[in-house]
Amino acid sequence: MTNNVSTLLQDNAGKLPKDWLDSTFSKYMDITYIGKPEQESYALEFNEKFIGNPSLRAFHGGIVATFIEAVAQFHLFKNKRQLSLHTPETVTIDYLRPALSTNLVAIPEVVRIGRSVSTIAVNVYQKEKIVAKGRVIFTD
Amino acid sequence: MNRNSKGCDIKETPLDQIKNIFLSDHLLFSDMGFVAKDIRRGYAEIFSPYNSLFSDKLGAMHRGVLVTLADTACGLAVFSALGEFAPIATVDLRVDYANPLRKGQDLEARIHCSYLGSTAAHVNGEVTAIENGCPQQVVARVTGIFAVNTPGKSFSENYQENNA
Repeated sequence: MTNNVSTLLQDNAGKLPKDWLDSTFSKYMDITYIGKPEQESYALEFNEKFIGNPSLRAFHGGIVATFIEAVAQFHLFKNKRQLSLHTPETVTIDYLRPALSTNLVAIPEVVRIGRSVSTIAVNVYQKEKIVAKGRVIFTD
Repeated sequence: MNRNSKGCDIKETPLDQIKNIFLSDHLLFSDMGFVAKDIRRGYAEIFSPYNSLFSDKLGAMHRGVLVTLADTACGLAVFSALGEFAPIATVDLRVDYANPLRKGQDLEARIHCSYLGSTAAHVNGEVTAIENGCPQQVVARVTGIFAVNTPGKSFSENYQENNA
C-alpha cells in the first residue's frame, strides 16, 4: 500500500483540485487520489508527524477529521462541477476505531447535492476495517 | 490530595507538566506550535500561532489546524477534568464553522468539559481568531464526546517509558 500510494502521488497530483494544491497545508497533508473508475477514493500515508496518541501510535483525531473534510470538498467539487472548493458549514465525525499506524483510505459518497445545501458522507478505512465516518454539510 | 473514581490518590496536574508531557514533546503539536495557555479542572485553553506553512490558498491558517487544535483542546479539557492522564479516546467530534479566518490571524481554542461520567465525557467550546494578542471573531464552535477509562497506556506512562 505504501509503495502504491507513493507511486500514485505524482501521477494523480493533477486529479486533486487546484485550490487544495495551492494551499501550503496540502504539502503537510499529502492526500493522494487513488480512485478507480467505479469508485473515487483517496489515501493518506501514515507519518510519525500525524500521531496523536503516542502510546497507540494512532493518527490524531484532528488529522482524521481534516482528511475527511478535504475528501468531502474534493468530492463535491467533482460532482457539482464547481470552479473552486466550497467551505463546509459543519463537519461531524464518528471515531469508530483507533486509526493505527497504517495508511488511511477515504471513500466519499454523495448523500445529496441540492441547490443550496449539499451533504457528503466519507468513510475512512484501514485494511478494509472502518475507522471513522464523517458527514460534511455545505450551504453554498 | 484528591481521589479519583477508583479511590486512588491523584495529584493535580500542573500546567508545566501538561506543557512538557502533552505539548512540547509531541511532534504534531510542536509542528503546529500549540501552546497550553490555561489549564484548570475541566477547562483547557490552547493557542496556535499563525504559520504560513499551514495556510489555505488565501494565506489564512487552514481549517485542518483549527480542527486539530480543537480536538487537542477537547482532550486536554477531559484530562484536566479527570485530574490525570488516563487513557481516553475521541468518540464523536462536531465542528460548526462560523466566521472565516483571515490571513495572519492566530487561533485559540477554549474548551470546557461539561460532563464527566464513568465511561464518557462531554466537551464543548469555541475557537477564536486572535490578532495582536486580542480575541477577534469566533471561527468555529466545537462539541465532542470522549470515552474515558479506555484500555491501554496513558500519555504520561508512554512519556515516562520513552524518557527513562
